[in-house]
Amino acid sequence: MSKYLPVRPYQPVDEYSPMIWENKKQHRINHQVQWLDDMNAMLDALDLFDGMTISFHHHLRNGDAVMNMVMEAIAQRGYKDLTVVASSIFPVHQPLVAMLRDKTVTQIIASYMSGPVARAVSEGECEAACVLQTHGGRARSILMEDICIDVAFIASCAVNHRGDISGQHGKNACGALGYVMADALMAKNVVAISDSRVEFDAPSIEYTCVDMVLMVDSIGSSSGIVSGTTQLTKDPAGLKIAHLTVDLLDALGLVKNGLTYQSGAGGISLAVTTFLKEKMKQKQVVGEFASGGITRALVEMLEEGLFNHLYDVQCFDLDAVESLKKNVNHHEISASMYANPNQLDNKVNQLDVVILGASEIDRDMNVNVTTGFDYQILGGSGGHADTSYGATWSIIVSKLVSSRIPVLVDRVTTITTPKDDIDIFVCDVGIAFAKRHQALAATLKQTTRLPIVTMEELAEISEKLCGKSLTIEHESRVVAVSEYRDGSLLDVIYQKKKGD
Amino acid sequence: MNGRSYLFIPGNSAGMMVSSFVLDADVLIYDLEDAVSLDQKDSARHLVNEAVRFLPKRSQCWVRVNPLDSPYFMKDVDALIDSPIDAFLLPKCDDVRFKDMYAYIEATAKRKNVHIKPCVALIESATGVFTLPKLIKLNVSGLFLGAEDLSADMHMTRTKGSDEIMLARQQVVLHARVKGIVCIDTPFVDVDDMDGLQYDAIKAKQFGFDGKACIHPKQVSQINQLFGYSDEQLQWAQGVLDMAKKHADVAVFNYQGSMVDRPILLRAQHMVDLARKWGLIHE
Repeated sequence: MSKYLPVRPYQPVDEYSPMIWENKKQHRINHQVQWLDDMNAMLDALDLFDGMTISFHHHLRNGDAVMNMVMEAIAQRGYKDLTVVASSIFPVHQPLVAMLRDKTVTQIIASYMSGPVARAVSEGECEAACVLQTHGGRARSILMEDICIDVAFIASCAVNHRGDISGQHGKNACGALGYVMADALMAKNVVAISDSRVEFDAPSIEYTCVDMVLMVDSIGSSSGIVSGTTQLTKDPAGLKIAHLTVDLLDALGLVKNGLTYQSGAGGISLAVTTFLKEKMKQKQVVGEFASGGITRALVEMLEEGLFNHLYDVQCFDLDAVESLKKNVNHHEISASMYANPNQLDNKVNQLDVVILGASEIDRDMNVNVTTGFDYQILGGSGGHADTSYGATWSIIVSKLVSSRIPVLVDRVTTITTPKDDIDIFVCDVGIAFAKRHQALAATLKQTTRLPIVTMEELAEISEKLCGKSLTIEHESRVVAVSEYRDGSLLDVIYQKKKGD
Repeated sequence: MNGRSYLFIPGNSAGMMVSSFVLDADVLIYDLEDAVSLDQKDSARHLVNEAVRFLPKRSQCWVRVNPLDSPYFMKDVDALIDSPIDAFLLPKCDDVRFKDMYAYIEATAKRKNVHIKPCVALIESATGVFTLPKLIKLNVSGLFLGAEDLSADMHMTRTKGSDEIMLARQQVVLHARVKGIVCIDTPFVDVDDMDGLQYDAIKAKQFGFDGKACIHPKQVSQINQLFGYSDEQLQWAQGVLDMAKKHADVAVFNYQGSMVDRPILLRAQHMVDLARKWGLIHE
């Protein structure tokens, strides 16, 4: 069975064409959802086959039990050559490793991958090259049928009597279900798997999209949605970077009424949000919206009137879950509305500024958040490339040297976000602008106290601290590709050298 | 030697040292004394010696060596006398101890044919405070109050109000001013109490200290702000200097309704020089 793989090389795009798409399920108003309480009965009712494509979402993050539950049942039936389209893979999904080895699963398409599965893929355990997409690119590829899903298994925090799905109710409420909405609209079969049947209005996904509901004891634990990457940094250098970033935003005139803002979930990015809050209070300004993965810090800003709206594609903590449920100005949006490049009214295109992290950045400002320097897959784009493209100012925040490993390198190991989409790099040593902004950098250097430097100056300091980086060898086999949000091929990821 | 913040960095922590130069302290003090356990004295000395030669230099760099009566003082001086550090911070000083330590440093510098480093005296005992009049007659380049050891020596209880160290603070500032050298206040040790730090630093500034020690990087920016100059103060100083250029032929002139004579002009120049050094104003 041929596998999905982007082949068109990446080219910078100024403007995307609008998506022509029709909701083919909206007419199913008299449609009856099939209710089941047994996994085997559910699998019997589905028309499963070797080589099928099945999908899962990651809104329960490391607390998800649904993917493992379904995959183990499918594997027991002996199906092979499956493509798993999971919005993200976390350490909890370790059982998938054995299924890569016995060829139950032969390709994974995801926007983020960490833990044992990522390690197995990096070591060449997956038969076909995996595809690492962006969140917006995933929605685009599903809605435009580049990827056709045979069955979408949707971990559903709650279902009501009609078979509507909600992320905001139930014993394991995880909030927004933005990443799975495209799957629900497009998959040939949609199975809602839930541990809570309750009544609610305003579903995340309507029953017209749902074919079956499988009730189980537990879909996992919503407490797992809080991960280590969503904690504020305590590192003095990280805090300095956050202060510098907010001073920079102020100098750029961005701390203003109507600000539209997003930040990543890294410790420094979260510190930027915290310090921005203080600056906005001090300047008495009200932002229009914050978007993306929503944290307690942003919820507090909404509640304190510092933003008018939150557009939430994923909740990063339980405070965000609670806020989405009770605050009418906290809106659940789909990944397509968030970041699909061909949905032209998407939220990322309306952003003034996005604050993002980096594992590596090179002198041209290509950014890697996908692999380590040793080709080990450590994450993936998520919304990195989407927001970097859309935001007027995309700002990378990172220490220049992290745990004695240089972040600024001659050439990133893997391009996650291309240089065309990055504007500024703020590190503990100074602030560097992309070459196209050098006139502005010179002005800020003359008129402010900001430590404006060049990437070359930073590279010199980094090399002094760490020495010249050695070239790390890799195997010749490509184990994964980094796909740009429009479906083009950004970079390839080679298999880790054996024995490393 | 003038700085606002003086940040102690443990001499045995490579991780903290490697990021120390980005922390915006005016002076980094690599510590070989209290922060380093006995079994790490040699490795810390080696590490500090490498770090000061290797790390990018954005701040002044001092080293607190071990006390005279320890087996490490001479080894510390021998290792660092020809390094690019800006000063030695000499612990547990009184007039006699400082004299002896300085003599060894001077002799070592002479033997190695290098310039002697400035030596700052850490005043942290009753004798240290009591012998300040004699100490400032020696080649001391600065006075640094260490209130924790002083309190132990004086059988005092340390409080956040710091009333118990008022006499020592006044004595240190008084003698620094007589000698015309820098004086630095003791660190505020509760690193989570930022309001307490603010109160303590304001008090130290009122007493006349030039700057204050920090034992955590998060104390630096607050201390820099308190011991630095506001935008308004710098605008005034720059205005005075601009006006002086226009009135180069007169000794006294009027600026914003106040008389400006030579001492005020010197003060304005000093402020602008320091502000430039601290990155508060650009060339």
